[in-house]
Amino acid sequence: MQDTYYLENGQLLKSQTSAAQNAIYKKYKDALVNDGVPIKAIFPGRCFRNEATDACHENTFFQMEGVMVDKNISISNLIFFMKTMLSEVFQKDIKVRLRPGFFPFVEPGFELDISCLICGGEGCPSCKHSGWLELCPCGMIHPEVLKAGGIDPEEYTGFAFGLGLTRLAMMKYGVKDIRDLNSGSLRSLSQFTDDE
Amino acid sequence: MFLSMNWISDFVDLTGLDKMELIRRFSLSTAEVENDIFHKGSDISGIVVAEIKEVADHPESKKLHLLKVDAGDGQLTDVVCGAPNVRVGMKTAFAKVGAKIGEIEIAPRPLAGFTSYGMCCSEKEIGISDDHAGIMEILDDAPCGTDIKELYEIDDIIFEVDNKSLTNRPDLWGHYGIAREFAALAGRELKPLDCADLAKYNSLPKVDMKIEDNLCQRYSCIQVENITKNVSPVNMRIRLFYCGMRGINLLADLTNYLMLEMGQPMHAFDSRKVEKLRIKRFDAPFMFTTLDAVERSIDENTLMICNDNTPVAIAGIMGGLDSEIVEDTTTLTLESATFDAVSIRKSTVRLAHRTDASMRYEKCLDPEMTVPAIARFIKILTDIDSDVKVVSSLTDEYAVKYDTVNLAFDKKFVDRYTGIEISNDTIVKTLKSLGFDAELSGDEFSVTVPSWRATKDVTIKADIIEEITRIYGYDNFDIHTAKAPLYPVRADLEKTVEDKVKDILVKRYSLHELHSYVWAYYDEYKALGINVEENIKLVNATNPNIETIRKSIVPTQLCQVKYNTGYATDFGVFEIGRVVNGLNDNNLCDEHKMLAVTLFSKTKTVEELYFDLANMLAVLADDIKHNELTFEKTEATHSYQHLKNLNKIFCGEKLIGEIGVVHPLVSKKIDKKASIVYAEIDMADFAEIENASIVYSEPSRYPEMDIDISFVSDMYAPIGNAIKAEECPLIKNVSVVDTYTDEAGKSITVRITFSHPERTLTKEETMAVVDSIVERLEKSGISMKK
Repeated sequence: MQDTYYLENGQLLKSQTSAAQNAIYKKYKDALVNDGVPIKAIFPGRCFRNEATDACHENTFFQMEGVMVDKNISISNLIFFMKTMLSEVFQKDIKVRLRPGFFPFVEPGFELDISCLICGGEGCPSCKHSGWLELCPCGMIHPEVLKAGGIDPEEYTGFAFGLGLTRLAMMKYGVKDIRDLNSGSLRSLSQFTDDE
Repeated sequence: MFLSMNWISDFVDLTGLDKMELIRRFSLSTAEVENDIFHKGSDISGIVVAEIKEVADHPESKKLHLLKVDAGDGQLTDVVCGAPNVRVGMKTAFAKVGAKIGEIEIAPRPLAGFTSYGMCCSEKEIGISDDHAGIMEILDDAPCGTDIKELYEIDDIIFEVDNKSLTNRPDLWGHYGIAREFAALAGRELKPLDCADLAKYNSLPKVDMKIEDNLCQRYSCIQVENITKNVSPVNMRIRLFYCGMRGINLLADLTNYLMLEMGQPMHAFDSRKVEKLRIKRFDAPFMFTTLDAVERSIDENTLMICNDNTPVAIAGIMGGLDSEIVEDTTTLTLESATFDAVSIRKSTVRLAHRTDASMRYEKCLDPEMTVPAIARFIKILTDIDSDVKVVSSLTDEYAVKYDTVNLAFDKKFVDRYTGIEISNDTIVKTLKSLGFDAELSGDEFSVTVPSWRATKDVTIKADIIEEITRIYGYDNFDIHTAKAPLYPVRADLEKTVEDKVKDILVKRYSLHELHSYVWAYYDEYKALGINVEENIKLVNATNPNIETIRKSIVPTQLCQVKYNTGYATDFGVFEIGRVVNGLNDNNLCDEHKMLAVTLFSKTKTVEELYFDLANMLAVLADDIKHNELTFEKTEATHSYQHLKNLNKIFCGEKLIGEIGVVHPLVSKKIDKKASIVYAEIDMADFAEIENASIVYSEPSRYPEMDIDISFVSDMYAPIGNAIKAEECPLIKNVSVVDTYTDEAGKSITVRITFSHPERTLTKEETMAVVDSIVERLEKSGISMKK
């Protein structure tokens, strides 16, 4: 991919957190299969994109990914989980809706919209009067991804979601320039105190 | 891509349904629809067909004409018109008094001394093309006074689908495929395409055509001649315009129309230029001029359509200028083909030229579509122009067939994936409505994926789940939590230690956590006089200033400190981040997660600040690992390190990092007067250190005794070691209480705390220990300060 940073030895700086899924499955698959312990993992990580930076674009930012794998994890569970989690994150009752979206590591894959945080769904300039904000991709983990992690997709299913952690923080605190976060500027950063 | 509801309605009867609601459902079930939906024609009314009966020149204006028009209301209407193309007998679109065009309501209007009772309109004014050169000429047979909206499909709902959301759906790049989705969503029948019967031309000669490269999957073509019409029907032009294309001429419009209708790009060649159609690549690069008159460099990987050995088109991307239809073209060869999607994609990138055709080919088009597209083209063409003659039989070479996809699954599989109950009936009906062949026998569904979905999109069982659930509607899902047994998970050691370190540094010492980039910023390093050390590099950084990955966080942190010197007189920052120390034996990056801390002060001496930092680290080791730190002098090896004031840090026996004063030259560049010290610790090494267990000892009931002694020394380590070497059980604690410099040099004052568990100590016994320590130190050249 064009926007990935490659190193001289052929390694790359990870452009998304999904790469960690494989390591997690391999680490916990025995507990899943032998002891019936479901895999529930959440993993934030620094991601890198080779692009020119401006107020909306950074080459270094955080994403967060979550997965749940067990014998009967369903789309119904996914929607319930996302609604509950996002309501907790934003500390208010959030409506969610799913639209089909194509992402190679999930099938089916979805774009998840939430009811607009500003207007609550009535329609306002922030949501371009649609009442909805596109928030994050999610979906049922692709059988090949499970297989590559040593988990039999005929027996287990799971869901995965990704959140733009940096973007979420910008939304929450009204940070207009994404570069502030890596600037090292104490005038900006000392405002983020521990109690939030 | 813009889509027309009228066009969709050609293929599925949506009468009685709320179109806006259907579009909303389409957006939730198929592909994202942009927010702006256009109600075309809604802003015009009262425009009718009118015939110009009289034309007189305006006495004073060269541009204006005085017209009398018949608008079908039994009288002639006076109109002042500035269009150059007016003539007697011409029929045009006429906005009567009372008509509305956008915000304007037509009223009698004085114009250069005459009153105009209405306005003749250009196509642009009606909103059906961007032609504003003159008033619209209506060639179709319609009585004067006919509302133009009854004559033409001006009223339409146009919506836009984000192309990105169609990446995986080759079938949705034309209205017919979109109509299939609407039919499935509305529960209505999809009508078959009205096509010409090509079998009746089977006796005609074939086109001389041959696929010589398997990057061409299928090539179908046919020849036609005697095309007498040049202008497309108005309704066709309106659809093309609404969908973002410009009317050109009948043939060009028709190929575009077919592409927008079926998603199949087509190309028409002048038959004289393609007597021997060959599809192949060339061994050597060459220059080729495409029909937009741009000369492009073609390499040996690019598939070309050729006339024997002469290239005439870049396959799937654009035709050549030389083989274009021209005025004296009598016979044309119509191409309808499919090519390898990856090859087309790569060619467009190499050529830096993406077209409506290549955009579709990149998505793996359905090879079964080439022939129906020709049949549909011939049908529409002959309907428009009955003089057209087909002069060849359909010539079709199908070199690479798509792989048929058959899938089998049971109801349990669907239940497990969805978590809700969807009936067998609904499953079969949904799949059939989308063109899948679906059957249920016993508990087992067997499904054959239609060609337009099988090229790339639907290949596994999970794909079928998407088909069933998206049409079912995610809004209709009964949602519930996952049920799973609760198991405790052991906390990850490194993560726990990291959290504790952050807590202590932030909460106890009010340090600021920062994040910095993993590469060295050359400019910033240079400004501080720090060398960028040789290390693994990025090979494709768009910014050459950031090529080299950092070996240590300290230099980037010093750059950040420099940035913040105005923030406060005293502050400290830290980061836990990754560094790379060259490559390991497996040629992989030798990655380390490091804690870097820098303290900056304009009020403290370097010594004071150094001890603050050493103390801070000692607290980390004590709180997290119940362990002590020891320090050992070491040589500077990096340009930011002070040549003398640099120590290795050990926790127990293990080397975990370094602590030091910043090199005076670097320090001065950051701030001339400030003291700056730093430490860097390898987090994995620190995390691995075993927790020293707490050994409880009963506190003494007898008073402790503190004795302060000063030594002339610029280092604490030998003093600490000498006290430790005494191995005196009465010593309970040792701490540095002061450092100062006078004519004798630098001195360090330590406080030794003594206590005895069973009795009060005597001065004599403690002094004996102190004397022994002093003696020990004097032997190594460190004298007591008198």
